Amino acid sequence: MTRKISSLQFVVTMFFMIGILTITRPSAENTNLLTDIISSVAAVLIECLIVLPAVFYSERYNTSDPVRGIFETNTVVGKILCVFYAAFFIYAAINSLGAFSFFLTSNFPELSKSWAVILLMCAVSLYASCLGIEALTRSSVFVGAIFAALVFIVTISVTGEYDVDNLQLMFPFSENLPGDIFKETLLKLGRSSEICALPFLICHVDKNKKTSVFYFLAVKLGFTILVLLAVKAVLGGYSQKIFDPFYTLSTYARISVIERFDAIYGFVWTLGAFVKISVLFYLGGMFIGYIFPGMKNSASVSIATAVSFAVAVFIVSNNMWDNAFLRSAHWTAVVFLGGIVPLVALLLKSFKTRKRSFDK
Amino acid sequence: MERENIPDYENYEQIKISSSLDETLTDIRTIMGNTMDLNILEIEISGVKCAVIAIEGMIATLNISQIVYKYLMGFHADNADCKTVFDFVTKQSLLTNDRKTIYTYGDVVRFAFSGFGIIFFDGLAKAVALGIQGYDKRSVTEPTSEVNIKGSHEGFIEAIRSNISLVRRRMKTPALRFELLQVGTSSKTDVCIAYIKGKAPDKYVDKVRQQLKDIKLETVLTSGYIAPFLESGKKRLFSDFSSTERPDLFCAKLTQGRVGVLIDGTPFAIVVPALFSENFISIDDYASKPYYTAYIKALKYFCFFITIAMPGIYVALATFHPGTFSHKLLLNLAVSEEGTPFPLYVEVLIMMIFYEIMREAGIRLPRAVGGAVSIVGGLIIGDAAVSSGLISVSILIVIGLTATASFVIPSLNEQTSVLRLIFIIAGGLWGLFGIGIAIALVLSNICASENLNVPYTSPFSPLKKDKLVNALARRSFFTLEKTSSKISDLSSSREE
Repeated sequence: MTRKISSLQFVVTMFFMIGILTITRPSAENTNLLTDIISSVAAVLIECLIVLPAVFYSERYNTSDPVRGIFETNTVVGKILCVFYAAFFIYAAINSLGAFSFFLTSNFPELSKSWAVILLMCAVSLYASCLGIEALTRSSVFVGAIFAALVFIVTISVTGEYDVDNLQLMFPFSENLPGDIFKETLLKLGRSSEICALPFLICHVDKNKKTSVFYFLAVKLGFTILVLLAVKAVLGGYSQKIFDPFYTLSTYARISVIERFDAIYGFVWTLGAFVKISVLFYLGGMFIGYIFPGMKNSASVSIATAVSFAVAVFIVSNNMWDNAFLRSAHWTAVVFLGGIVPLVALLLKSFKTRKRSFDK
Repeated sequence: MERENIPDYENYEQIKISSSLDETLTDIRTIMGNTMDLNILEIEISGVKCAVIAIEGMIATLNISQIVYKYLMGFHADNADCKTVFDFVTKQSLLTNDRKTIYTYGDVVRFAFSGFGIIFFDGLAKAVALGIQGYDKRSVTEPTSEVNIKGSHEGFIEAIRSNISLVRRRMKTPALRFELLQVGTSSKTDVCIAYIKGKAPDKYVDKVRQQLKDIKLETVLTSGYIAPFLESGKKRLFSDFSSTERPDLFCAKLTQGRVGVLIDGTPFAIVVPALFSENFISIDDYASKPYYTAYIKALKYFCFFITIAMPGIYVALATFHPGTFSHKLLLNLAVSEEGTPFPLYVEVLIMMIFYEIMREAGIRLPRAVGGAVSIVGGLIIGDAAVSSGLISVSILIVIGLTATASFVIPSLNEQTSVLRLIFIIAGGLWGLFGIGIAIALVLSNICASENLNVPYTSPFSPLKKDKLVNALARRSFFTLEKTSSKISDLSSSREE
């Protein structure tokens, strides 16, 4: 008996692996809206190609993940890959913890110290990730509903502030548009750490794997463009200069009983970060478990959590958060872990199966 | 000759009844310690020495004299021996419907304590148990914890056989099956598994049967003793079984392919598996228009949210994020909080605990005094606290709303009471970030619950569109005519 997750659970969980990141990170300075939109589309199209091997692998070998497949062929290579993946997911967790703590302590300094924020987030994420991927993805659906409600309210309630002139499609003017689009695409690709998690979540999806991935990428693109337009239409060029434009947008939003949505945005980000960090801990722990087969799931997840906590606290308390490396991964890591490894696993397994049938 | 196995109260279970009546009666007196409620009547039927044993108060005296004694004493046969009398009792007479031949002292004890009269025959190593129960029991009355308006007003009672008949009367299908088990090493409580063959998957029934057999408790006095053994076994805030006092609701759940457990001595039946959304369902939903049911259910979900989160969110917003409130609201709040000596979250905590004390006092007290508690608590203490400046009026409104909302979903009272306090503390310490952390914790816990592979949060997550209608409103009877709803459709695992 194996566990399964539904298509919706997969899409929402994957969305939370990127969603908050997309709405909180501005593009590179001096990027105009046109470049932003084209690069977003290009990045998603490239991601479509990157995830293909993982989707085919999962369709063909159902519940097995690519690293398990490589493990069956060569244990040493399998273990080396596990180290890479574990390190990557822990890195992504540190990145998210840092981003979240930075956001919370800079916007709501009276709430708590940054180490306490990281500690609380780690504790609750550890608990959730120990409960397994099914429980985690189920939670994400509820968080998704809350999140969708917030985005809807914020974008609708700032309609009075929309100014088409703010969109400035081609401003600041780019002298080398293709080059800028290329650079921006790679930057966006580097921020798509969720692509590396996809091969290990899609194998749990019960049916309609291809459709699920398609929906996820479509939602990602649609949401990115929606937020880009909403932020730009209200904030104009100012959105390029702030760390968290959607947060700023939420301070503009108001309805009759709520004067501003920034605190509510912080609350929703807490939930979004919880889903993302929990999945990252789960995946980090899973690969540590692959490296040390006898280890209990709770122990391996605890190791991933402890490392993430210690490093994140160190980085945040030493004000190292400005380092670009700590803010997002390089696109090569995403291509390698999200696309090349599943491709190799697919080829190896196909070759092995063909050889076996030939021998028979 | 010295006997090998002399039974006593500890080792009697498997020991066979002696063929000597005197020895048997001595054994029974030894096993039961000559307890004062043991009645032994020695008689001769057609010249054969017999004895009838019964427990005082457990049998209907009138029945035993009219149905049993009268016919037994009227039996005469030439050259009758013990076998002739035994055959008369078991094959040639219609003394009672419920008649069993028993061979061990274990059976003797079990049947005698269940209200059977047992006839022993000198020369036979067996006895006949006749069902002539007549113990006092409460009559069928309206359920106290699940009151409804338009549905049936019958509730389960403490006697298991009456409860079985209440269910059988509503479900006249031969597919409805009852299996009786004894649970509790000392109490030997009758526990009955109920299910509908063909609807409840066999693996559900097997699992529940095994879970009940594995219970090693000494006594089983209420459904609460059994329930933890039927849960998924992990530390969960919410119960992934449901309990009901209503036979109609019990039948409705059996029809969906669930497994029910009736327990002797308690008017609450247990049903597994359960869903979170069922806490918002009442039998009256099916007597109202679907749009009204949808409205009431939405109201109940909203009340659930208010019950657990409202005081916490209020504390979080007022303490850390006052800018969220509109200016007028903020000014009113500032004025009302100006004179109070405690921090806001301490104030709310005090009031919440005070409310819990009042509620607990109101439940345990006789009804006549319960009203007085409300007056003392709500009017006198509440009013005094506000006018003395200890508590602000706005807090009183928040607490009042929360308390009223909690009455809408009484089945979740245990969870909401504790979660409310956690939310207040989280909101008071870390604002909406704390509330987010608390919600994340609760969500993960709820989402991890599943019994018999059915996720507790279904049909919301995993989303089952066709079942969502029942969770948010109710299906029309025309749809129910065409489709059958099975709980096993919500199962979350796949066979490999």
